[in-house]
Amino acid sequence: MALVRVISSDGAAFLVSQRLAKRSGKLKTEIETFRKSSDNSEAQPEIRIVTIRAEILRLVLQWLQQHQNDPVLPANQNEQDGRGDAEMGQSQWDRDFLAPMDLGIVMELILAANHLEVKGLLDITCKLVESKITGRTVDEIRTAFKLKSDFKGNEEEQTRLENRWCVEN
Amino acid sequence: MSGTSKDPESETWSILVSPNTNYYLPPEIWAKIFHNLSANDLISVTHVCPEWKELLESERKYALLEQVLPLLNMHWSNILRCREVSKGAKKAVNHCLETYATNRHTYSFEHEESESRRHFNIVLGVIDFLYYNFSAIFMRPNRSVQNFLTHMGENRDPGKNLFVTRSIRVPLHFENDDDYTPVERMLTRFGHHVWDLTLRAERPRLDEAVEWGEEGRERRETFHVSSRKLPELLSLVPNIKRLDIRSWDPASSLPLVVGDIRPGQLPELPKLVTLSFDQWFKEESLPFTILRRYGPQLTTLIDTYYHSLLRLDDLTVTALNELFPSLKKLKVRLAYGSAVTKLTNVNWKLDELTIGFLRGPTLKEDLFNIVNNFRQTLVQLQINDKENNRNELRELVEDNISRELNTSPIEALLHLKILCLNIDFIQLDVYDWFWKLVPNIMSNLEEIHFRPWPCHVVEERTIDNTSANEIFQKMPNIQKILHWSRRNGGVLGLRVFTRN
Repeated sequence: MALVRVISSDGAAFLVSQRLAKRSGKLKTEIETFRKSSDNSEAQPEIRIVTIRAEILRLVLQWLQQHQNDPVLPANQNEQDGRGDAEMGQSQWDRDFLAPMDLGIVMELILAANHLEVKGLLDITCKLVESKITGRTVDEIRTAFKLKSDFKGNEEEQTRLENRWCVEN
Repeated sequence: MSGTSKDPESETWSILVSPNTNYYLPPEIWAKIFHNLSANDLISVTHVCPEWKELLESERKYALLEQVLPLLNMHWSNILRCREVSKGAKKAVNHCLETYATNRHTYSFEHEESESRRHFNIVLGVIDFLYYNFSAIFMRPNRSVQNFLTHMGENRDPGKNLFVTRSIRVPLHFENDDDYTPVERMLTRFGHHVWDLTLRAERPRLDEAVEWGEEGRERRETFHVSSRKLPELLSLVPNIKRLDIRSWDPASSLPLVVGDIRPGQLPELPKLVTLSFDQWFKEESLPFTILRRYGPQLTTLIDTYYHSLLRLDDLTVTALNELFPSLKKLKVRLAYGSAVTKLTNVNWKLDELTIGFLRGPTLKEDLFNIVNNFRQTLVQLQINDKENNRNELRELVEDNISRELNTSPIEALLHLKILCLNIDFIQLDVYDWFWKLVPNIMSNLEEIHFRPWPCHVVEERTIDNTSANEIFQKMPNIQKILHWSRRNGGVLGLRVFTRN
């Protein structure tokens, strides 16, 4: 089985089958570039991902492993109207996978999935964060993201006024 | 352990940088140091060691939020609500919104490949267009400048920005001083927050009875732009990076009288780099005065819609070279006559050129001559027109092009990476004259974008795999063909073809 070494920003190396890695658009391109530039067709490609740390990269690979037999969703190719793709593919496994995560980690996963071009993972993580903001009160957003208000004086009121000028027509 | 140590050899102080060895920098100081980092850098810093990650936990979340927001699919009211969460969240959202103001006229913004980012840009456009547009108050009287000031609280801290996109539109034409006063008050207090200013010369506001009466006719006959307000208006927005001056719609035959104004009266705007006259349909004296004042600092110029400013007699090739020494990006809607000759001779180092004209045989030849003039620097080329579909003309063209090639071969555009064409060009046989030349002179091209034109027409032509493959075969370096098509509501949809 052809393998590829994927190295995280903090230097952890993951040995992954090329078949699995190629389900990431970015890794697929990198493997192909390596193939073209290498004389030895047997050589094992090594790919450094400087923007993703090991903890996050492990989660991405774990998700890919679970979904290795799903049909690949192209990133933006032949797109249909809207973002209908996001509706598909969220299984019980996905819900259990995301459930224990802090939203900080989910946001890092979004950036990683975007960078590595893993559309299925990008969709479910985005949906999760969207659901913590859309239709929520400001206090609910604070609780979900574990953030505290640090506005001083009338700053909060003024921000509300700025928003209201936009929202109220 | 000491926080600093003196190196006896070099007589310099070196500072120990890890937070767990340096007891002399309390966490607040580290937080201050990291405060001004970009979202991207901040995230990297938190990966350096667990101590920094803990210290910067909330900042890290805001930095992540800033990067994640454009990837989410949310209504603009929800995006705005995040601003109310905390100072950090407000800063994160503001950064996203401000970037819009400075980038929305660039090529990469218009041709954003990521669908979610494209969606986000549209959302920002809604906020920007509807809510800081003070130039169309006759349509939306409750959105007047005075109402805005009252709503926000006129006495709020002028140091805090209240234009969330930093982009505003105000009228250039004021019927009387009473109309100008609120604009002046708003800009005096908050104008320094504006990065992108659109000034619009409005049609005089007439009520219906007046419009059809004797008085209305008289008032409609001449339409004065009170340019005496212009120097003052501009001095109230000292930080603008982009200035867009517009006149009322092209269909109107309303004569416009621009008062006498000299370049010397216009204030210094050190950050101004982009000027747009894209929607200016009237005579050129005002754009010309503004060009003379700010020309030398410009990197981007968008020419007037119908009558290119470049064809003005005062703007000789020498004058153009002196006036725009830093120009990098140019958009000319319609170049003809002397403008063409000038464009083939100026010494600008353009990296982006958008040009529209292809009507008639000589103009096609001119197109290649103009492009040839910028061959050393051009990275992106956009051709915004299609040719006349008259066969006899096409034959003439082919004749001209081949003659031209025999006498003075067009040199290669080595840096040209992106070519953007009207979808009409996908008829490879009709545009044979073009596709014959392109592989030779644009051999390093990486992407071809096809766009709809004119923008309001529903597209009939489309790209199929056969025509895409034909282009891939002609040009070995092309990796991607992108087909932008108009969808309902004017939104651009995208289909991407990649080389197999």
